[in-house]
Amino acid sequence: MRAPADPPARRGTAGRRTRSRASTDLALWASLWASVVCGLGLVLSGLVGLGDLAPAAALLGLGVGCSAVAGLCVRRVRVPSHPSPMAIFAAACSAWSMMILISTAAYLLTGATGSLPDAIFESIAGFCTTNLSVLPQLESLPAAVLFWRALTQWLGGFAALALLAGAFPLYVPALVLPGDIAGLPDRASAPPFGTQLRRIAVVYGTVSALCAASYAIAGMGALDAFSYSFTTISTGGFGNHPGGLEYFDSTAIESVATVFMALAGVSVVTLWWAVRGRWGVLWQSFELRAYLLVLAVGIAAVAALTWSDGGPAALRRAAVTVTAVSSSTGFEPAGWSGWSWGAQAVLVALIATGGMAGTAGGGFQMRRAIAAARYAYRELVTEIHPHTVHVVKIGRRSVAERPLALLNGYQILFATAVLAGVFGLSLAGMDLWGGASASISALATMGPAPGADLGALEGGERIVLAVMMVLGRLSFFPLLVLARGAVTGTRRLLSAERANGPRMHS
Amino acid sequence: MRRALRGASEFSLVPRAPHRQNLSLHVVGLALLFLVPGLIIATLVEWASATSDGEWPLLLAALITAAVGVILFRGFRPPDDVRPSDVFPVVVWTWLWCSVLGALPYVLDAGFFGWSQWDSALFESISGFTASGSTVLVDIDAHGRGMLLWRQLTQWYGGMGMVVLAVSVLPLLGVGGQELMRAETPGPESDRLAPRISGTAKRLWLVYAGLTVVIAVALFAVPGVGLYDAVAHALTVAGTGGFSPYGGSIGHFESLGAELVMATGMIAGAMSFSLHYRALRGDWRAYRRASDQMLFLKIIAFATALITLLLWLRQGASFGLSLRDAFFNVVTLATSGGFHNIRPGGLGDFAAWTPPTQVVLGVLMLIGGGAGSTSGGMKVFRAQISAAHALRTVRLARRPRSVVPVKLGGAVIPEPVVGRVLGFGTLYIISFGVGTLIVTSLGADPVTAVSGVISALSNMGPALGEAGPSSNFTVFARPARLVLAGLMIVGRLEITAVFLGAAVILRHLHRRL
Repeated sequence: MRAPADPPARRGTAGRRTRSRASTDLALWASLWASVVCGLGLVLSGLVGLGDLAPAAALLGLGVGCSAVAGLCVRRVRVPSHPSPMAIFAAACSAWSMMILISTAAYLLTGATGSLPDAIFESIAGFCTTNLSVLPQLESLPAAVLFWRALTQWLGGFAALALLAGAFPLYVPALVLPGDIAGLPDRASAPPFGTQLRRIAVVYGTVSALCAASYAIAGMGALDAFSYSFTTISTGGFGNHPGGLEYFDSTAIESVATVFMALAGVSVVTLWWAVRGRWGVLWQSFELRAYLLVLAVGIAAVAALTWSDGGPAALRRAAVTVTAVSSSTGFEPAGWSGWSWGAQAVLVALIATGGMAGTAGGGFQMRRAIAAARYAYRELVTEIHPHTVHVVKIGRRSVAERPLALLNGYQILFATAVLAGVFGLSLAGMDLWGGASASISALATMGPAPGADLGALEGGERIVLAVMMVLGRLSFFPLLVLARGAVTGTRRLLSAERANGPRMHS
Repeated sequence: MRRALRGASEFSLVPRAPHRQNLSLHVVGLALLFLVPGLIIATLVEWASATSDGEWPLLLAALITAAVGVILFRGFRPPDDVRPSDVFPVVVWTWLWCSVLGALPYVLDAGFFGWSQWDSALFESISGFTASGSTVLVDIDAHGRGMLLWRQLTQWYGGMGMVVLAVSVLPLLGVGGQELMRAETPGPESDRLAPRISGTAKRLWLVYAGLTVVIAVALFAVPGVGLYDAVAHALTVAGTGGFSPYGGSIGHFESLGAELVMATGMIAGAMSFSLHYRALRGDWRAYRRASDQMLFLKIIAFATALITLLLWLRQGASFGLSLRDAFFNVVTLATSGGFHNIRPGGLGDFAAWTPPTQVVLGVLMLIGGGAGSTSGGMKVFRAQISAAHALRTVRLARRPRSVVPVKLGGAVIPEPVVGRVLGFGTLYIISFGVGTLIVTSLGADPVTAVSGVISALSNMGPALGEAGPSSNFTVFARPARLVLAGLMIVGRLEITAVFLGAAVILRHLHRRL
């Protein structure tokens, strides 16, 4: 038995009371740590943007305040030794909310925007690593704010990976193959959470640093190099200038971006083994080969479908766009809504498919797509040979039936969410194609969408897109389980109150 | 004896002619012979109408079809042992051959399509035999009555084929009515009405023919509808096809009565025919026991209410008009009928409705009608099972070791059936995705392409966007039309059958090579 993988099984009725207290502690602890980290990030942003004193001072003040207060408090909070995955997820949600709160305050204090909804939406998009910006006039914003804005995506991407490792059993169904996120065959031999976190940090930090250096060599300024590397590696896509990467009009920068966006779509586990020098793992990974194949086919298809518009330049443009879309980074090229319908449809299909599992990116993800296709094939073969037993495999590894069942559920939820998103966006006033592509794009935490004008978002559109982003970022199962828990919890609370009411009176 | 001979022949020097033994071609021959009476009736109507001269092409087509049918039926005999997997290629071949030979009158008549537009003729024929109702025929009213009647008849035949499919093939896939029935009815009853499949098929054909007659009579009773109109429309209503001998479809009559009769007929056509049979035998409660059929009616009611509200509040139409057009178009889309009621002063052009309304219509197209009917789409029970599965996975994610069954109407659905439905979902998404990518690459805009592909897979008829009810499928490029026609066959044969048939045929070819 893989005991650590299934804490709910160990939990008796007697443990319920302690667990609930422990999870509260964990939530508080996580949100305090989130504010410490955010505070440090704010301080860093303030230091970077010292040239413009007023906003820098605001960020410095907020940052020092946050980290000092939270840092003092965090020592008093105890952490349960064996939190359940659900408790970890709940903690992550509260940490997420705390980060969004602090970031909203930062935008408002620096005067980057005067409206509260704008600030909240920008923060949600940032921490969901989605490139949906509502801040007007990017170029006039102070350097400190721009740096902080990129940093929110970097932190959001890291938090997503940490959550994947931490609330792991909840994501197993979504990931199909257990253990891969830890880089080891299964959960029983997976390293402890701290080790995993360190490995993720090493990979994430190394790749970001390499990316920043490459951008600088390719000709970006220091601020841009760091900001763009943050948003590239986290698959976020915020830029300091309007017009995506085309602003720089440099083949070198676009090539660097293409390589690192493609890397950002590769599972951290695979990258970890690459960092350790185990190149064999790369060749063995069926998912990686599938991902690279999809990238290549996608680039070829988009280049062919837009060839009439620019000839060989179409290939370069296709390479940048397809990697940005596949990894759900979302640097969008100018005027892609005018591309041929076929190219737009291919791009939306790539957005929906997404990169590899175990990345900060979104979408359905390669591993699930492979498993779903294999599952369908298995069901077909069973029709012809009803008495044989077929095992669904990814590469050489077999997939158990339970994760497959959950994967199918995930697939249905994904499709339902897209449909619901289209309906919501169309009610809010979008046309059908724009709504469909924007809904898929937000669910994949990508952001911009071909055929959709997301420049000036209305209230209704913002709400729908924010819900889609959060769904895409935190995944369906944990959120639905949390919602279910909230409903039953509230009901239990209400019934308890009802039961206690007369007794309290007497 | 025969087995022994076959064993001996493997050693003989004179090769036996293995091609003489072919189930697919034998059945194709039989199906083609069924078409001949229809062609002859169409010839007579064309001859009697005297306004056009399409009788010779129709007669020639009848002769060719009869000749091919006789040759195939007599020239090939079914093999001694038929395995379940042999059935899938049969189904695919039957639909293909019928569609190809059914297109003969269209190409032989130079005034209709002619040889230069062979692909349009094939599209029209496939759209007919799959009971889809998408058309590339531009000036419908200008053509002869007999040719148009043949066009209507192809859909009637398509519906007839669908009834056989429902009793003979789909149960093999484990997704027909039978498994569900077994699960849902407490007693020993099942979808099987007679001991043999052929007996069941005959009974269901009787129901189908009876339904056609009833609709024809009811339509004829509506003022303003002639005998020809009543019969021609009844043929396509029972098969939930959607062809009409008028360019204006039902809007041609501008009659609420005709719309109501048609809508009722389509609903009947989109519900299980074996349930109709049971009801005729006095077991009216059979409907109530089939939860998917009841849900289908509820979906129609809910969608009608929702769309009425959206039309009334958002498009500023009067409530009565909104209700009338919402009801007719919801029925025609949910049953995969595909008629339209565009008329002066009405709201029939649903491609011009507001985007949220169109999303609802798209979902209706996707879901389709009840199991065991002539409607298309993924079918309500699949939607039910998928939804139930998605809900249980939430519980499984919370408690990974719990065992949660999928239930439908209080009965547990066996896991293999759930697995097949889920596999079907993936195959649907793959067919949809590949189809959309090809059609958009050939130049259609995404809304038209997506809705066109869904419409083809669901055997609906008109789509949204540019291919809406006021337009037709000529907006698609010619290669794209062939892709859509292929998707119609894929959708008609419930996707799995086509994938399986293709797999079996490919394996066969591979072995030959």
